[in-house]
Amino acid sequence: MQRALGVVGFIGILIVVNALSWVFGWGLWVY
Amino acid sequence: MLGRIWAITINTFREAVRDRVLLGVLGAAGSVLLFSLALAELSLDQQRRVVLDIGLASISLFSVVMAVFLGSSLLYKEIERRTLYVILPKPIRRHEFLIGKYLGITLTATVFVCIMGAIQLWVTSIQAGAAAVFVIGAPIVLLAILGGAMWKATDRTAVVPPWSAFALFVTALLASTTDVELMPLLASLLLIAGEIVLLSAVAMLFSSFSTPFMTGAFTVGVWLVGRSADDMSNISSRALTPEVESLLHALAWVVPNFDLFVPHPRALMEASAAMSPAGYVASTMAYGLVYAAVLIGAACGVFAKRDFV
Repeated sequence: MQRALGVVGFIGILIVVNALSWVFGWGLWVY
Repeated sequence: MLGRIWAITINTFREAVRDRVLLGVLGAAGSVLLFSLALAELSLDQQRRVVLDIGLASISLFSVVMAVFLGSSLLYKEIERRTLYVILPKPIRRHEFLIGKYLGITLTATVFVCIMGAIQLWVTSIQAGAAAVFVIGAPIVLLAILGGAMWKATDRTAVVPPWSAFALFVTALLASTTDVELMPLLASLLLIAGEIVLLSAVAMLFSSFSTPFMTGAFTVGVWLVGRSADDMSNISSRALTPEVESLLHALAWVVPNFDLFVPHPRALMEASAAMSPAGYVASTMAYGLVYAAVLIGAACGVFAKRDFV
């Protein structure tokens, strides 16, 4: 259970980082 | 803490540099760069573009191969050869060990990109018709400096990283005597290094819990998917059902976007409405570093919980 939560949380963080790249223009997603 | 991480880093670098396979990869990549001069002559008035495109593509490809190879083998070797059991009882935390390994791989890859970049700049200068005395003199002087430094130095491997940066600097000076557009080329090299920083973090995450073969396969998989991230997020095809399309969109939100590190050449040459070239490079590098930090954090978490018996 804990491991599954960890994996889901990890993927969530990755999505947040990718989303931040949009908001802050960290290397625009689509040039 | 930094001292301990640095000790692991420099030893990882030493181990990687002593590996003959890497010298082979470096030799092969260097030959491809030289071969691009011959290929360029086959083109019609596009010699410089062929040299640059083939050169940068091969630097990128060979560095990816190297990052996958190092990232998947180095950590596992420590476990397999049981050298890890000697290190872990020492006053070093597991995450420090892992970060040191990662930085060592990154250092090796950066040195590789610098040396390849220097060869690329040299080849480009030849193509652009730089003065023969500089073209012949630069490599002789650089190799003489390397030989002299190796002869005098107590720690020979520590000579290589500063020397590679110096070689890049000297060949950049050489290229600046011609009409080559230097800045886009250097920016591309920096982005290739950024891609390697991110890709070796992916490899470290996988190698913290799996075997070298699986790590290599997973990392190459993530790289392939990441290189197609832009295509996946924009895809609209009649052949795909809406479910598959939305799955691809969702996947594009998770995987690292490696497409950013190989932008259209125009992105590095002229400012667009949204961003200047410098802004583009800086923001892409920031993205790569943040994403890599998250991956290394997760790798540390997995590695700390692992049971070594």
